[in-house]
Amino acid sequence: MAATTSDPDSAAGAKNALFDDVFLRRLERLSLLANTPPRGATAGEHTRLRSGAGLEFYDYRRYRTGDDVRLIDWNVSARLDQLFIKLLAAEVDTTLNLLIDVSTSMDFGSPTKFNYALQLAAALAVIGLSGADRVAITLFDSQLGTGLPLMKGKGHLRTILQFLSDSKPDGNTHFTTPFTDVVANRASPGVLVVISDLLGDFDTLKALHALQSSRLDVIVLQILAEEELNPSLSGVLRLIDAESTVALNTTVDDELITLYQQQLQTHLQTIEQTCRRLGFVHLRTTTSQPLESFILRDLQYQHRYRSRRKAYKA
Amino acid sequence: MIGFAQPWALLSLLVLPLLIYLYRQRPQREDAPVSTLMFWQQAIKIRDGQRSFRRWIKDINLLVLLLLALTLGLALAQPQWRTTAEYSHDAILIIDSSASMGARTGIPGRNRFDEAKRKALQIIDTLPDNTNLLVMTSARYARPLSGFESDRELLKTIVAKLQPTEESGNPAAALKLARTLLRNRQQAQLHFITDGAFDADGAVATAGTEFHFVGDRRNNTAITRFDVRTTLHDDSAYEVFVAIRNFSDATINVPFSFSMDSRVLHQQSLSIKAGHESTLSLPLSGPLGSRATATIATNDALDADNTAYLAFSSPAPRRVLLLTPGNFYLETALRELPSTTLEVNQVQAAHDNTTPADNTDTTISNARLQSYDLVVFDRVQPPPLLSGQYLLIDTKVPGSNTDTVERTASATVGGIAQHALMRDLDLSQLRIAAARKINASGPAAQPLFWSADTDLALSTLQPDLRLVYLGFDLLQSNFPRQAAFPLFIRRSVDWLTASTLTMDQQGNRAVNHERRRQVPAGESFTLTFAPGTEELIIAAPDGGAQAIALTSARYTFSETSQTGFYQYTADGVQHYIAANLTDETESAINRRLTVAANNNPQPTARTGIVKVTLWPYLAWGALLLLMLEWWLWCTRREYV
Repeated sequence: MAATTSDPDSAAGAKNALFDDVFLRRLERLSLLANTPPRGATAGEHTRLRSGAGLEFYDYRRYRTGDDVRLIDWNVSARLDQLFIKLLAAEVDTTLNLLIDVSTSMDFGSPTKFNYALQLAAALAVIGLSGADRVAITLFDSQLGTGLPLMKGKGHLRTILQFLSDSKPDGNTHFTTPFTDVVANRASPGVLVVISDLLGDFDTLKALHALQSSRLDVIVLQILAEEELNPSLSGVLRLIDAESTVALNTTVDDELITLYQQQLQTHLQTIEQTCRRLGFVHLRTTTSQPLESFILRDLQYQHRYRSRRKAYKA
Repeated sequence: MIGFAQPWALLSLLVLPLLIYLYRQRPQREDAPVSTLMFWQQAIKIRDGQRSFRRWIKDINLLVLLLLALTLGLALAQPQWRTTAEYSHDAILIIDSSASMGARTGIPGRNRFDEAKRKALQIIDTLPDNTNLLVMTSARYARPLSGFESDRELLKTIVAKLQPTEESGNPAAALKLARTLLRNRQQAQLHFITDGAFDADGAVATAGTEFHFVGDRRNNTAITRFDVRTTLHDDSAYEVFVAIRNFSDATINVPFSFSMDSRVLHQQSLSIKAGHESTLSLPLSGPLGSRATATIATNDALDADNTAYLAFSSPAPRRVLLLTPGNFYLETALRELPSTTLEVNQVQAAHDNTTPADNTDTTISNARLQSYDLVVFDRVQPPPLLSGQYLLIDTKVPGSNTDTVERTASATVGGIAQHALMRDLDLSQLRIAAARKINASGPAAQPLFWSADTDLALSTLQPDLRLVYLGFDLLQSNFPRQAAFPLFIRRSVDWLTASTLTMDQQGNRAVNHERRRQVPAGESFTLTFAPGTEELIIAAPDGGAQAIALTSARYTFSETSQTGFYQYTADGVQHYIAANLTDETESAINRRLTVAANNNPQPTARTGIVKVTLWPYLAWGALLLLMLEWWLWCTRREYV
């Protein structure tokens, strides 16, 4: 089980190898970049596309049966000889639930997936707090562990960083129980961000189904180490499982590496397809990818794309 | 008590430390932490599935050892598999390659041997598939040319390369060898391709042999004997003896010629009736050459017997050792002998009461005495003589145990024996001042001449010992001044050294056999060389020469299948050896062998219960298992 400490003295600084000055400066910059208003959104607020709600025009789309006829823009419809309705941008706040995998298997790679996950969580928390969203953090391995309750405002950033820096990787991965529990008990309606390597057996897929809930937008951030994707192993080895410490004697050759990569890719594709089918946002990154690049490019793009699709659907 | 028949084999135990060292050198595994084993396990499972046999590789050592023990146990039990199968056949094909097979046939340019080869190829082609065939030729000796082979192409190649010989035939030996090789073999077959030009006497057992005859009836005339010998009274004169037989059915006129060293010395035409033999005895004077050839010019079927050859070598000189205090007459008489090398050893004269050891040069051992063709003891006591040729003059009587010698006051010859040594010798004027009183004892001692009181000369002829004994001092007689003295000495030396000469049936002395170098074609001859001779070059009659590096002073040459002169050169000196056919039975080239109609073996059942011995296969299997275990050991390091 992940262990956390709440030493107020150390929390005051929140500076360690994980969250040093360099990283904190990166977080500040990230915060500024993340709050850049997309297409005229109000700074410091979280925008949502709504048809018929909000004050600011965002876009048009064709009229579909069931749409409120009051939203039809008659001028445009007359000009184009088709019915169109207005889409308006509404500023709403939301809840950001961060669910972080702290099992032993995350303590792998260089840098480790665990560190990357914590830094990613910290970055998301910064973005959330900067956007006036509420942020909650929960750690898990085979079950739900410690966490931080909903917090709002940048003043909680230090607490979050201290909490994250005190976390240690421990325990085995088991997704079903913690995912079921977080949906049922912990997560507040809003966005649930799962940060994990998702390297498990079919239990992983079953657990993803448990995340399906009408009140949560699920974002699955899968973190892999470069050593997992392209192992540089060869020769007569004793492979040791990071979680169970079970050993496997084998000789790693090119043929085995290829087969391993095939199995891993199959697993990753299954995860990705499952998430897509369940309507989750799924993003995969490696520890070698810069954090800012992942957040500002991949994550933001994906989130916008999904938000727009949901608005169109609405 | 445990003993070891091969104790040195225990040295093989030294390999044990090596095995331990190699075992310790096996690669050590390194720990490699991974985030999860799930995908590795799946990958390994797929890989091992692709190599499914490696699923059980984990316990392969035990499996291999069990199989090995099982295989060896079964092999020791010598299992046999009884099954009904077609017998494998073993057959021998004998091809007659004697001289008569070289007789021409009705087809120009073809001889009987060509037909025999063609028939042999036909036999090979028609043999059942499971037949193993051995090919051999039969001439003077039987020569197997292959093992029991099933490879038809190989057998055909062997047959195609066969060449006829000019040797006499010995089919009995070939058949005997073939039957010996076929003994205890099932369904054995024996094929003999021949012209049948030999007699089916008791030595040639034809039963069980399938004969394939080649050739037709042809005419032939042959030189059946050829020899040169010295005349009775003159060693420098010779007689040439030649016998020519007409094997055809009609009288023939055949030109004959005799040549010495390519120089024709005699020519004449002979008329020989059918089936008759004509003999010639030609005088030959002058020095003997090195090569003599007798030839008949006839266009008969067989050429090999139309010429006969004789080769001669220069006679080796006799080596004579004279042990004497000094005797001018005796030394002169010995030195004047032809082909004689005299070695004189001056020693002190013996007194009558001295022992041989006192006055004989002790450096002259018995072995050295026997290295001479003749040793002459003149007033010198010889050691005990066991073998060799000796002329003893005024010495103690050989075989006498008494040391005291009684002498007569004077003696004249009272009688002469009828002996080859004494023929036509006039000893009537011989006067001897004092002669030993001797008593010829033993059946081997024969008096040559004697006086009224005692024998004066004796001769002894034993298998290994020849003696001529004179019982008086030559210098105390007038014998050296007699005309009979040199003749007596010469005859004595010739008689004593005649061990290397042969006498023919007519009592005439033939040419020294050591000089006459002649062998039947196909027979080997042994050459002796001086120490240090390193190389021998032998040229066959057809001109083919071969150089031979000598490793000893003797060399035996056996490739004499052609008739003619074989020239060999050693130490820069050329010599010749003649190989002849001169065989009446071989020159009678028409078929004489008759085979009963039911002689050919009857075909028998080709199938039956066959016992297949399995232990060799099991032994091979055990060996393969050992190799498999080794290979798996190498690969185990990867997949366990």
